[in-house]
Amino acid sequence: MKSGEGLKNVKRMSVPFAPVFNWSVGNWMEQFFDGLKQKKILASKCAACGRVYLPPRMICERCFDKTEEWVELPETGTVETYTMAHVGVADNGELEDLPEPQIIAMVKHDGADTCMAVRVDAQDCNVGLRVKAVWNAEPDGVLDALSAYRALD
Amino acid sequence: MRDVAVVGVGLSKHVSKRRDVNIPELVWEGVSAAYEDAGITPRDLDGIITGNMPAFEGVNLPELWGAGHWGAYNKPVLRITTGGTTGGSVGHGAFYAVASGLMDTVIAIAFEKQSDGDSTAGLNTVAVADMAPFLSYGIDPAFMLAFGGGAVGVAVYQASSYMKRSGCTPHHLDKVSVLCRTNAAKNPAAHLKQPGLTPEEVARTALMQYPLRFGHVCPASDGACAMILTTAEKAKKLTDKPAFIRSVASCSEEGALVGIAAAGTANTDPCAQEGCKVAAANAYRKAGIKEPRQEIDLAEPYAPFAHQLLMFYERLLLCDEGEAPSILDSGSMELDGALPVCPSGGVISTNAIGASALERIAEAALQIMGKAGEHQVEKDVHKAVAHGWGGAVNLNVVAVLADTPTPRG
Repeated sequence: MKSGEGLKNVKRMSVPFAPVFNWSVGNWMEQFFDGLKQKKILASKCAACGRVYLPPRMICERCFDKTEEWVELPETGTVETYTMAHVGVADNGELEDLPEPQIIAMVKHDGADTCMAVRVDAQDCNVGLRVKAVWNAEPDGVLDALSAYRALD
Repeated sequence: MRDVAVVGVGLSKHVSKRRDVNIPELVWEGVSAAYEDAGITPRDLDGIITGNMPAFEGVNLPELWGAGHWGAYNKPVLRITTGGTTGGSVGHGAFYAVASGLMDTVIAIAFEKQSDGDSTAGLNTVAVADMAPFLSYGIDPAFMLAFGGGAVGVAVYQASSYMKRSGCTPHHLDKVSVLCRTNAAKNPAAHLKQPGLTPEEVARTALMQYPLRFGHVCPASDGACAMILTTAEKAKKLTDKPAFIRSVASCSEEGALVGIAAAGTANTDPCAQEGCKVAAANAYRKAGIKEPRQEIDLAEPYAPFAHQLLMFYERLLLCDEGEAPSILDSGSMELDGALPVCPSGGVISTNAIGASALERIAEAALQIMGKAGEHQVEKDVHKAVAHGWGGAVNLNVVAVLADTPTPRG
């Protein structure tokens, strides 16, 4: 090939390139996020063993069955285990001291067989603490729609 | 060593972008089809061998995210990743598990979800090892200029060299694309289906990088492939017509200088592919095949770029070097030919990278089992060869499949 030949019909690429990652959340998580917009907590249920997954997943790994049934769960649940965060991530990505320590807990919603990691606003946290979800005023389809959980009286 | 039978094959559909499903959900489509094809459930499994490309999706342990979705609950899981050969190495790993007697029934799963990640960024994580010598000796890594267009930069040096040495013309490259894309049109799992494609249409596509045009290069696919392997005894209970994996062989050459050599060696011609010849010769010997040119009924070489179908046909010892272009012209490689090549449509039509080398073995198995459907070749397939090319472009993997087990003694 002579230099310059055929340059009219050449595929052009731009360099340098910026790598982009676009992870699909998948069918089951998408339904979960859509539910949050309507203040609904949607879990998927295995027809074979009855286990209820929250967040939902497509396959019940124990039964290798598709979890085709959807159930709406109450806003209440129980702290299974927890930790305390003293440092958070600022908008610029830097670590920053939190004004107050924040409780992060694994909460099992009533009716679920699995836990979600959530923020809990409480004076004192313990395993077994009963909590209730607090919604944002205008929840959108992201996990932050559930701003935090508070202790049930 | 025990005989190893393929009793189930499953493929997801392959497309550019599966935005509706995540990685475990996509792979499940191929996996569940394989269980259904074999008539077993994960309860019958002794282990799971899986793999995909390193870093392509930016998820470093996808097998642990997905394993439960693929039937791994309470089972051993192994991941194998060797670059473009990943799927082939996964197939070899599954073969070793059954042949050795350590496991009876295993599933081999290979996949890629390229739309989630950035494949060129992923590829560069592989190429860095090859760039290091350049940087450490203060040499300008000018060859990296060839990577502006992504993976095609690996193949262009090889294509130029192969064309010069074999007499392969640009028209032959166009005809390879036609062969593969029209076969793909008959394969429901294939990605780029172009029924009625003509060499002239391929010749009019944009030049990607000399000497390869857009029409000579694979697409980037999302997709998955799964195969279930078991012992000959257990296979008898599951199917009347299993495909036996008679042998596997691989050959790792000297470290490559990606783009400059692209040969699997810094010292020889990029189209030499001595490693492929070594692996093929070993695989035929272990499979009890003395005359591959007479005995092999079908070939699935790994060819994401058009010239590679011809080049690897030669390096798989199916003809003399330089003969493949005229064999293509003879029509022998077509679905009704004497030695059909890439009846699946090949990698040039479908490339979910980590899955691609396993899909070559899967196609060989489907053709032997007579389950290929519309792209089933006309002749009876008794023996077939499946190939993969990858690593740091220095690894070749070969598997020989047949409708009868390996002759012993």
